[in-house]
Amino acid sequence: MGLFLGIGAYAVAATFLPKALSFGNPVFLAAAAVFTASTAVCAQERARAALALLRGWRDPASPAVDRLASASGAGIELAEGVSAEEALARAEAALGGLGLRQARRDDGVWARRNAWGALGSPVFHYALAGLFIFAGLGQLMKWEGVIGVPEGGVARDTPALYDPYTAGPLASHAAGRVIAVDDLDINHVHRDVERGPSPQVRLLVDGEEVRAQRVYPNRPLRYGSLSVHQLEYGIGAVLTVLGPEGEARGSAPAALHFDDLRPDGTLVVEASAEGRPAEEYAVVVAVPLDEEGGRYFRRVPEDPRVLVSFPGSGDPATERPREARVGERVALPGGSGWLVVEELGYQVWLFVVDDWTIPFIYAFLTVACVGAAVALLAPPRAAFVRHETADASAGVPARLVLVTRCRRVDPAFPGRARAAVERSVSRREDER
Amino acid sequence: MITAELVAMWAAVGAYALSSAGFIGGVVFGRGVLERTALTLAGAGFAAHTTGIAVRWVLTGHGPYLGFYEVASLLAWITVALLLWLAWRHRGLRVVGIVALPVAFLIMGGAMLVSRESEAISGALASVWLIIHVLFANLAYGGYVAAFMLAAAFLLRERGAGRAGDAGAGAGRAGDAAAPGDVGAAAAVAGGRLAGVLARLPGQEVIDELTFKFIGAGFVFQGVMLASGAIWANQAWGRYWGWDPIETWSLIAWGIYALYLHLRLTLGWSGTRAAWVAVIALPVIVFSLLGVPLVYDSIHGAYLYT
Repeated sequence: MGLFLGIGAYAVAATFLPKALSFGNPVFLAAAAVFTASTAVCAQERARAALALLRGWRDPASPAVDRLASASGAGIELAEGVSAEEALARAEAALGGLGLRQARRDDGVWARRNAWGALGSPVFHYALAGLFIFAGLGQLMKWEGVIGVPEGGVARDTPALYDPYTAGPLASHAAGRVIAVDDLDINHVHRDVERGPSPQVRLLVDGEEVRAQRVYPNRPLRYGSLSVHQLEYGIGAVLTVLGPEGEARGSAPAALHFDDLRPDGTLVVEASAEGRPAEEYAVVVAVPLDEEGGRYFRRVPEDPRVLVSFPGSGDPATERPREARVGERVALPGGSGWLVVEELGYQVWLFVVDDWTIPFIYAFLTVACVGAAVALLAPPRAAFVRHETADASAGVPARLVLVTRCRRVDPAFPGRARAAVERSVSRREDER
Repeated sequence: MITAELVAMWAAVGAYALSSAGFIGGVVFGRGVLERTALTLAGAGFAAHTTGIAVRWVLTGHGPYLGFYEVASLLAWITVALLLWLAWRHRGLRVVGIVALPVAFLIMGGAMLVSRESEAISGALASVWLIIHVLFANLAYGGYVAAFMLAAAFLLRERGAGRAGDAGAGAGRAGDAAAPGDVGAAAAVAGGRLAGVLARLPGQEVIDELTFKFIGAGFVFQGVMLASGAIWANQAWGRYWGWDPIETWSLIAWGIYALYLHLRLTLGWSGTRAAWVAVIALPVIVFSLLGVPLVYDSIHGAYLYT
């Protein structure tokens, strides 16, 4: 209980801290591990008690029922002329009316209901422990990352191409997979709902297509434990450097995010243009977006052009942005060659996760909910009714004694059972 | 149609305000007629409120679960619905309106002061999990708020019984062998208008048990809410749990109710101590539903405060 409260207090404080410092903190992880272990131990204890109850309640001659039969309980007076046998028969019927299954013993009536309900609590606690364990396993074994793929292009599913990329210490990244984006519908509509930018994604394993679908929120592409989610889209460009004679020296992609839109309506990227002769200047490519009424459209411009500049080159002519069309050459500083923006198209960023524990997490969550519902809403209840003969010396008349079990989860049960049995034996035979 | 919705909603706010005054006046002045009028007003406000929600549902094409206005309005609606249900089940329980109606009025009044602009269902929201998630969130809230009202009534009468005990009335406490109703009778003996009103409540043991049952149901519903939210988050964003502040606070609230259940079922707490836990827990769940996006930068904030 103390640990439970401690973790709760820590969680409150941790909401004000960055995630890495709070819920990724070794102290929190250690406390969570101890909490998981204590939940498992608690589940084990509850399971032992529940199984004992199940076994004990199944057999009317069990020691558990014997204990109940001899326990003290509520005395219920009998109406005049009601025999012991008649009283027990009536009590049996009354308890049956409460939904309890009855069995007769020599010394009384044994009745019970929902014995299996005792399993609810251990099932709930086992499911929670399982959930924590598999969530922990997931953290150790999963990997996830963001990968950019140009429209109409492919990307190898390899850690080096992800940015960012995180992997648990036991994660393994399967080889031979390729992610392809055939097209991007920047405002896909499905069943009259705008799904936003939705790429048509294909997954290939060893060159063979294994999955293909349009991906949008709530509709990831799944393959085994791998799931591919649409995250973001932007503009992708391919920059090529040519030498003074027009010979190709290198080529590199550049990606522009719509979220980085500048007030002047341009998307800007400081690109790495492989093959350029010197590293002492930057290569900056800006793409002006289409605009209407002061609103910029998040799409590839209808008449695509770029503004290229080389800050730090020391040459005012090349430091100033120069406009160029796709495929048009822009002179590099010092006449050392040319830069060409070869292509301008959509770029899609996909969030890819490989976590085999997720179906287990779902299963444990479901089982936990069912367990809690059973424990709280269908608790086991039991009653034993015995007949006590009159003791004239003590002034005690003949009566029934009702012993019940289910005080905490259904505190009204003893009262209900007593009222039902009292009603049944309060009338004389001729009044019935 | 917008006007129809607005008229209905403002009518509900007005009725809830008058009903709150009626309940308070009924208790303060010990006038049963005021309480009865307050309950009628609450019913009228509830009818107007239901109309307003229905009109908006038709207009927007989705249920009341997007944006602060819709969420808060639904929570107020559930609060009043529960009060009416409790009062219907047991006439004496209508006195909990002194807690329920001011709460509903404040939530509803707050909702009317923010933007009521309709939010379209976006791709991330277009999921059957949204409906399951929101439905069970509201059911859980309903269970907890009913438990809160009952626990508050329990504590008020317990306090009255304590005074009666101080006065030598020898009143029994809940959990003792006293028959249900003894505490209420003792409170009435203690004198005072509140005591008279509280004496009409069912026995403390009944209230105590009802509180437990509502919390038990709320706990299960919140469990389903958390599970469906996790599944939905994984479908929409690729992660089932991200320690988002609203996720964390929801878990904390669930933990507090789990604590209540452990204290009750394992350690045998009942009566006053258990009622205090039920009362203290409600602000946490209300904060996790409505307050978290105001304090934290939460992914859920986009759906609540747009």
